[in-house]
Amino acid sequence: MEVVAIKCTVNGREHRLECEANLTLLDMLRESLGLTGTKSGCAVGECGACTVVMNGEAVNACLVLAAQVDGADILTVEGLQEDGVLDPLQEMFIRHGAVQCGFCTPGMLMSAKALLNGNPDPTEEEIRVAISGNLCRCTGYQQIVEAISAASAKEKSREKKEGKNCGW
Amino acid sequence: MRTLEVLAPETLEEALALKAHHGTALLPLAGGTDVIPGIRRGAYGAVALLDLSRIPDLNRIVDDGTEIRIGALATHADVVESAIVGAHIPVLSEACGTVGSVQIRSRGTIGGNLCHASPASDSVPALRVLGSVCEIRSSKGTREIPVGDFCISPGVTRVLPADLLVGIRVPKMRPGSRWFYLKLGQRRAMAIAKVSVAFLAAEDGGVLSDVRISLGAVAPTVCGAPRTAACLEGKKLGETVISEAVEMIQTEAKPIADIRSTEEYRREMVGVLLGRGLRGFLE
Ligand SMILES: Cc1cc2nc3c(=O)[nH]c(=O)nc-3n(C[C@H](O)[C@H](O)[C@H](O)COP(=O)(O)OP(=O)(O)OC[C@H]3O[C@@H](n4cnc5c(N)ncnc54)[C@H](O)[C@@H]3O)c2cc1C
Ligand code: FES
Ligand code: FES
Repeated sequence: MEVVAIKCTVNGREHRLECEANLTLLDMLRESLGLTGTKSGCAVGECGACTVVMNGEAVNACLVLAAQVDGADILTVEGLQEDGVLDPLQEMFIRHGAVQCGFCTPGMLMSAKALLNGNPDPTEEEIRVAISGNLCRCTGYQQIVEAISAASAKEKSREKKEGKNCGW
Repeated sequence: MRTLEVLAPETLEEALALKAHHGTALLPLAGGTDVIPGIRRGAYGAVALLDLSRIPDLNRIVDDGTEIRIGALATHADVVESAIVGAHIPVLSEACGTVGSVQIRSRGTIGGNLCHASPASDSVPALRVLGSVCEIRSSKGTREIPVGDFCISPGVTRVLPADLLVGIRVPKMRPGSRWFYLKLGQRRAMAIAKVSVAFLAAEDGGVLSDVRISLGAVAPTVCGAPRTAACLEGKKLGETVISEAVEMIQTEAKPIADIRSTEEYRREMVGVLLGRGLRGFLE
């Protein structure tokens, strides 16, 4: 069985791993690193549950071979919070009722994170396109779109101006 | 997933030498969005993978004057975001923008889309109307094959066991060209095409010339509609001309029936998409 040596950054921490060459990034995160926040749904690129941000782009971790991750910078749902403070996206998902069973949530959050990194003020249409590769069986999507919109730069600054408390 | 070996050369020369030595036993891996689900399905048998993603510059998009050269490893996202593509060959941005989802577009490459040779590969009808040429390389040299001749049957291309597809050369569209890429899928996102139509023509005072039409997901490979294109040649667009073209393409297209759609539905929808695109020019 072939083993490959991989160096990559996950949530700001550098990791050196020896993986089997056929391991996917999804298995590497969940099995080798114990980061089970990233979910495994269809394993063939259809559902988006496994979405992580790789070198700034949203990708399906189930379709990336660990061998292709060498040198990459990966952000998973576990890396969204900083020192116990939730990311505005996480805050807004909670506030807008965008989480029901929660299985799609890590993937949705990471698709939204990649969107806002490149486009801090997306239109509703842009938000819908950004999450079109993420299936949700529970919410009907509306609350998720609202939550992402509320976490966008314009909304955040409006809420700040109006003195709204973004936290709990 | 079964165990496999992954070779990851750092240069194109090294990759070509490996391909010359191992031939079909070495399956090229670009973005993996077709290869990885294929391995899971057991579609490839015992192969090792040749990871092309470490080869520098194979994903570059450059303006060569009269042509745009797109490296085989450019992703659909690279194509959609490229200002060069947007300015000179926008029908390709439109087509690549309909592929899968954001996640699929960030990994899936234009070379992989061509080499997968699905009749539903979205970049192919657009590349075909643009008159693009594939650059195929082996350790012996470079060959060029027009996109229209590249795919032989589903999954089979003119790429030989010792070859790699290295890039695609796309002639720039003339300013003022009329074009569209319209795709009909099960739903708006994440849908493989049931039917797609790419259209490109020059226009002068409403009169069309050099009309090119390609159809996706209709036949076993992406195909043209030369009779319909000829029927639009030299015509001024209006309702009568459009209705004639719609009728003609519905007799010209010889659709397949498969899991995604029936022959009758495809025949009907090829006409609907052509009519919709052409009427868009009248607005
Ligand atoms: C969920 C999902 C949705 C999809 N939706 C669409 C869609 O809407 N439209 C569409 O067109 N496609 C779609 N696809 C298919 C796929 O994403 C595209 O065909 C993509 O462009 C393939 O590129 P890749 O880099 O991932 O190819 P890979 O999977 O890496 O390779 C594909 C094939 O090409 C060969 N290959 C790749 N690069 C080279 C090269 N340079 N030289 C020689 N051989 C090479 C490989 O050996 C393999 O046979 C979808 C796939 C998934 C999983
Ligand atoms: S588990 Fe990766 S897309 Fe479904
Ligand atoms: S909250 Fe249940 S799948 Fe989205």
